[in-house]
Amino acid sequence: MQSRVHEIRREFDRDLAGARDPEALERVRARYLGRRAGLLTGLLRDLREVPSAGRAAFGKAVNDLKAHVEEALEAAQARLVPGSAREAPIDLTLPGRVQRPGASHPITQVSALIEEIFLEMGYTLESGPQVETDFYNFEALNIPAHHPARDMQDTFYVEGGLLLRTHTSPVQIRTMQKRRPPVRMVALGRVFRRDSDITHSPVFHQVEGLVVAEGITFAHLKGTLAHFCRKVFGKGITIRLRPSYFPFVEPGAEYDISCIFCGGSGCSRCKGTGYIEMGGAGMVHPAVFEKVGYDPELFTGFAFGLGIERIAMLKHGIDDIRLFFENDLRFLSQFPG
Amino acid sequence: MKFSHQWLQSYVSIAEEPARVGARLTAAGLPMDGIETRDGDAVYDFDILTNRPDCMNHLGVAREYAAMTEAPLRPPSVSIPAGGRATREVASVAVEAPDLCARYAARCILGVRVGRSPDWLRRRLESIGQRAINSVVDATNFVLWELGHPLHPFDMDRLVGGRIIVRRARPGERLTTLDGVERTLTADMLVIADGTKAVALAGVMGGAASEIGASTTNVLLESAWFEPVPVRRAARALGLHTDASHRFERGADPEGVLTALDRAAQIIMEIAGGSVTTPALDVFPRPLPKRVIALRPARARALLGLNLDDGAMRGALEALGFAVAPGRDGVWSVGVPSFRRDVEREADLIEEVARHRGYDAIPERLPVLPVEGGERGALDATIRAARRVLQSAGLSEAINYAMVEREDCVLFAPGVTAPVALTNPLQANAAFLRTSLLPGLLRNLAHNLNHGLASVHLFEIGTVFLPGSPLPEETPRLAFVQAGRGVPMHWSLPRRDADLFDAKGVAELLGDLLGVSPLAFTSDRIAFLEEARALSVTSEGQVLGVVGEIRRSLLERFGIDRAVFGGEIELLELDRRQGTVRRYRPLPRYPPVRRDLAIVTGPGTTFQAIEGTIRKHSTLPIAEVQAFDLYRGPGVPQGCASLAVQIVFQHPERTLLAQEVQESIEAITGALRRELRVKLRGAEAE
Repeated sequence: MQSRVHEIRREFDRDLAGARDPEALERVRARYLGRRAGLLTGLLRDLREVPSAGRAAFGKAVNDLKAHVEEALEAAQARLVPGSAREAPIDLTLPGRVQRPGASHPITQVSALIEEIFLEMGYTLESGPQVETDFYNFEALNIPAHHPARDMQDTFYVEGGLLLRTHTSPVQIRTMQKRRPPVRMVALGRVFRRDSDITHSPVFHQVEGLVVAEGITFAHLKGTLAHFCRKVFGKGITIRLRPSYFPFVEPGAEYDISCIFCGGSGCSRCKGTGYIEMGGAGMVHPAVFEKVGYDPELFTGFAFGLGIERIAMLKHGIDDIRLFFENDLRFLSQFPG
Repeated sequence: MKFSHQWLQSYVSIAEEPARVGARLTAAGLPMDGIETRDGDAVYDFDILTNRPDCMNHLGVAREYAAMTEAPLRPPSVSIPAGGRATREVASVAVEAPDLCARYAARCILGVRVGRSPDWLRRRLESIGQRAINSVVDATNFVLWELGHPLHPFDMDRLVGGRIIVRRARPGERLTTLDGVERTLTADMLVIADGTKAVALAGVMGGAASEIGASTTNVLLESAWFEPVPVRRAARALGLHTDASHRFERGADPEGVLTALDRAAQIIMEIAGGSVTTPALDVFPRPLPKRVIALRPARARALLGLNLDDGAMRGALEALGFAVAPGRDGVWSVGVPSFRRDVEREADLIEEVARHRGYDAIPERLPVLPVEGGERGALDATIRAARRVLQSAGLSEAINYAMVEREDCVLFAPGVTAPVALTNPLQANAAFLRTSLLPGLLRNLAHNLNHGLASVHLFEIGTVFLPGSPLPEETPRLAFVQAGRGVPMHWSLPRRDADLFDAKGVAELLGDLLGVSPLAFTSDRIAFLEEARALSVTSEGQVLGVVGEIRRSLLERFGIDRAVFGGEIELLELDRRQGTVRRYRPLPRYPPVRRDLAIVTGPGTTFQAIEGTIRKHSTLPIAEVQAFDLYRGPGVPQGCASLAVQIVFQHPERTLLAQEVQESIEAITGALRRELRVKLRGAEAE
């Protein structure tokens, strides 16, 4: 029986070598592997009649031959039939395989963008504690005790006479205390207000910017804000400053950008005004310089702030600030990167 | 704050459309929140900021509009007929606390008939959402919204002796205010009292007992100037916030006291009859000096970065009511109108100039400063690198509030018994500052599982707060949690659930990619991790953090019913131990030789011990020992596992011979059998 196996193998090799086109190849396949008349199929049928003593050896020989035949046919197929792969046809519509990275939080992404813009302009990144003293959060920023401006910021108090910072402005003070002008800094971080609804979160993130040197002007503030807003929202953006009041700046301003939804012609998103509010800004109040030991006659400076969630909401069309803190993967995965 | 367009027109000519008026005033610093039309009138909603109490009334807004459009302002004409009874014959005023009350003026209107106000007055009040009450009260409210000065009318027959005494409250003194609430006062509060008792809380709210009602026939009208801070303190202490306190705490106009008094008296007489006493009592124990500020026009130009000539600057200030007197050396003396108590120094005047010109006139410039590269702190770079590593391991970033429950602080930070507490939390279950990032992440994990996600892998980088002095210790950390299906998920890979080795892998990858070396994992007991599923992550004896399986008994708190794995790492330690510049090692010049061993390990035999034995007993240099399969099942005794290990031999100076590799393998297998008492299933070449 073993010799029969060898014989068929030799025959097959010869037949396959002679097959020069796909049709001939199919004939070879049918002759050896055909379901009824295939020579190999026949051999496997014969296996049942082999006495049990020799059955194992014979079975192995037949299987080896079968493997040889299938492999050789496969190789010939790949050679003779255009477009056929080495293996069985594969489903190219199945998805590819890779470890998909997780998403960074949209707040992180917007923060990184803001950081890059200011680093390019030579700013340093500064930080400060989230649990602050009244001095850094209010007093040094020209907001003494019982100042009505404290109403603008509902404060969380911490045992021991401390508080959770209500803005990133304390970092201005801490930075000026440890450094002489020129100062160019931004501070990004968490702030806390005792307030919660669809547009207010008790925790949110702010950017604080501060530039102090000789000869810094209100025009520099405006130019810097315009540059920043264009970097974030596009070259076509115009900015507008309006008088406003923050005790630590004078002149004080709020700054708006031309509406990114309607281009300034007025729509529901900008309440028909053509502008979208961005944040507060102004020239550093001389009283603040006095608190940190800078000579307000020698140095001038500007400061500005804005909410990071607000930028992310505008950029991505997010309408509920609470989504940022639910950490629902169906939300986070919409911002891969 | 609501303003009626028609009402404003009483004091200034407005040719512009309401929308334009709103835009103009917004540009002047009175931002408009909205505008609506009501009964043919336009009603503006302006957000009048804290520093502009002078604009919390119609005349003030009209004054601002007049200044911006150079239209004339027409204040109401006020006149009180002469020949009335002398006020001092029927009433008296004594200010016993001049530090809290700089001025107190009063007049009486005798013989009034209190009734319904005429339609014109009701319309005015109702147009801005105020309720008409009765003629006397409406008249004072009208003046509040017209001139901005809060007034208070007393039923004079309820004042014992017609006396007004402005004094501090007696400790524990009681007063029932107009809202019907009996209040207990403290000694730092200022009251208006008559001969016997407190009848009003100065600058905040009147008392119920002397309220104007239908039976009132004689009115004593108060117009005063109270010190801002005490008014604010008293109002806050009593939880009151009134139109009067809102204005007094921001600073009323001391010069407006008499005008407001006379204006209201005049209207009361017109609409409720009676006769006004004259002259007014005007106790002015502490005159508030007129403010004069030095302004350097050159400084204004320099600060604004705007080329504005002296004439234009002077014009702007005068339009806004400032009195400009140019002096020598380019320094002007600028008199501040009494209603602008917010203008205190030169910078404030410069803002006034800019405001009048319009901020749109300011050019856009970028500052030119010495070239210096922007700077990131070292920790910041570590945080950014760690974030990339965690993301690349398939974890997404979460950001959580810092306020948590006390249990969260204590359970996940063994050793912390008194976490940092808020004194006025928004919610009782968010009254402490977090001591670990894990509770927040577990809450996020529960949220995601509850919303049907099959695979949740999250991390957070943030601050935890540990008790400290003078400020709490704010420690940056990273933490992560993993549950449900392991990643990557793909049709070609078997489905599996996340397990401990996902968490360990994350920590290993962090160590590798941040160059923290050597990083070691030691089985440990951690309060919030399962027994025998907890590892300390250390480097040279310094603990960086922990990884493991979150203790199942803790998961109930979060409503999680499946195994969760994760860890928490100190970022400062990670940063400190981060590798510096990586040094190049020459590439091997000779090929490696790989041999596989299948080792049947009993309970207690660890991969670490196997690797150690292999390295120790090999006769050839080893580049790597890698576990590549762990099998339990048929063919392996119960309680044992077959661990497949690949050994990579590599000699720096020559090609290895099969014979010497075989000898080394024999030395290794002999040692494994001898020292670890394991069985081997034969060494094979790959």
